[in-house]
Amino acid sequence: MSFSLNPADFVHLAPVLFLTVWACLVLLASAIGGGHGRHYGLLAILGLILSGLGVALSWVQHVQPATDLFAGMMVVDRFALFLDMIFIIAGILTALVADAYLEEHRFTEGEFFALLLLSISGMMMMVHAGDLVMFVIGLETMSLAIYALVASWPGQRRSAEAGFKYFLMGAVASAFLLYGIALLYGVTGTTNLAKLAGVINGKAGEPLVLVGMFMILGAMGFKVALVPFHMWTPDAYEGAPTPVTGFMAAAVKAAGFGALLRLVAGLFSADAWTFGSTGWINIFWVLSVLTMTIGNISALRQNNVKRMLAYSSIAHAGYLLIGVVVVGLDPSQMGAVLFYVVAYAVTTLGAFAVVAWIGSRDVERTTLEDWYGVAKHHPAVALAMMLFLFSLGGLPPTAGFFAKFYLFKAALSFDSPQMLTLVLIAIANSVVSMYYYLRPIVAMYFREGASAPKPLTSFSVYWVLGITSALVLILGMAPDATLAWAAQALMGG
Amino acid sequence: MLTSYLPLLVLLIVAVGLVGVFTILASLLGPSRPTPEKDIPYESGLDPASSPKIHFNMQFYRIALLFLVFDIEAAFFYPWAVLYRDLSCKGQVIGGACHGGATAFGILVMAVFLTILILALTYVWRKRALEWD
Repeated sequence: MSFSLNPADFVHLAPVLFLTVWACLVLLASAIGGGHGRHYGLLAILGLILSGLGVALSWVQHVQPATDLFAGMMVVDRFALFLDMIFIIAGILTALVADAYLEEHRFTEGEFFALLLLSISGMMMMVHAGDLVMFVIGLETMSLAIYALVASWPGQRRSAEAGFKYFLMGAVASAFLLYGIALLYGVTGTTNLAKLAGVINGKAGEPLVLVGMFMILGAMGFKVALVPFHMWTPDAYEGAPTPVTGFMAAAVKAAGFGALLRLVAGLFSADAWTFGSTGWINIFWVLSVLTMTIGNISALRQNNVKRMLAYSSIAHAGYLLIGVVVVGLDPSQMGAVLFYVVAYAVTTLGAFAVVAWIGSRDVERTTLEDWYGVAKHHPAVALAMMLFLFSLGGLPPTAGFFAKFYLFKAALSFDSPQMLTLVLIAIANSVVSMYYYLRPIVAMYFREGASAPKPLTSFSVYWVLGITSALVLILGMAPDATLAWAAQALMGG
Repeated sequence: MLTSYLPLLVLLIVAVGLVGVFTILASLLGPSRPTPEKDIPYESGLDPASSPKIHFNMQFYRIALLFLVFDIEAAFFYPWAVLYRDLSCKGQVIGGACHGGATAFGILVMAVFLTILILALTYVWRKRALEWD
């Protein structure tokens, strides 16, 4: 037996390791320093920027993918680096919103930001995983931090309830995931994704493999909130502090889909991924239709904006599943899917930043009545919210339009009737979804408010609103640069 | 390949079946004459003095949590100690002697683990979680 560590492996993964160490430092600083929480938000943002520089450097200098870091446990390819960047940007925007939000709601704790950083390092491990064991570790690091963040609002029953619910359901999902992985290991004798991709071909029909894959799929479905594993989503999203909700909708979803894409590439061979009678693609097709339809229909009746956006995030997971189907058929179409992830993440972060902005210590102001007449008092924010809602609905000239356009275009490039049906259902869903995206706009512009809202006045929230609405417009009017980056972000590329 | 699991299935059926049959038989055949004496919860032969539904002090939870951390640390030390010779050897270990030079990997890996643990302990200490009240 001999153990060897290649020091170069550490250099490859420096951004992840750095972020983990930085999170510990933030935690320690908050324990020793005590006092005011504001500095910890800035400290976290500094760590995220430094880690982001590392990721950017790694992207620029990237020559070929490193697939065997730590004996195949971790992979560094452009796909993972691209997602890393999404997590880090989402983290910075969330920390900025949280900075003002925590101050207003009086729970300025350093732990909040330490947990935020830890969850991001978990996400990075998750998408860099080259092995199912590493994948589980990343997933758990992310999930445990998020459970705590959801329940981090002291004295709020709903926050504690949401965190507890999410934790219980998440623990069950993790158990399923581990059991599924154990079954796959039992049959194939490996947990390495690259090796699994080679071995699993000949064993696709074995009952244990089928059961194992279904378990893994179910657990992932829970993490990204696919119907029928979505029951926890509205409650957890509504009860969590609003910056955390935005972070979950943007970054956790991106991490879940990143991991799902990697698993699809590793576990499902090309000849098992067909529309034939035994093809796995059929399952994803059905899940996609169910998720977007049920997500959208449930959102129609919501009077609570936060809850409505939670259901909207379920619907968007359904659209993103179209992307998983597409990438399974042709991995070179990754660009369209990642562009959708970016556009959705930016938009949803902006939308939740507005929800965080409008509440004050006394009232959270999440029902539609609370939004009456906002446009009169705060025209700029109302305009930004309108942009985000248009983008979520997929109207030009916003990011959401091109995201849907490229995704549907990629799906239609296969010239198969099943894909055409899927896209038609998705378009019908987008039309339906405009109804509930328009409701807050009507409330803001065409209704008279009983009382003027007392929103957050901190500049950090206005920064976030400015950045996200600018990005939504840039992605909606000049998507070429981002699309070109996303197209380079191939798995193993 | 699945047939090798058949004995396990038989065992499962026998175990569940036996328990089920005995439970059903007991409820069918056994006479049921409840008295107040018989209905009180069994606490090792003593009469229960008070309701078991009491609030536990939150401190116990905290102690349990801390115990868990250090318990796992201790459990983690054993395999490390057993493998220390191999972890510190670049080449092969034959007959307890290392051939091919030493490495600091064995000591470093535990140092990293302990550093994280000490950071956690510092956090707990500074947050006053070690004080009883």
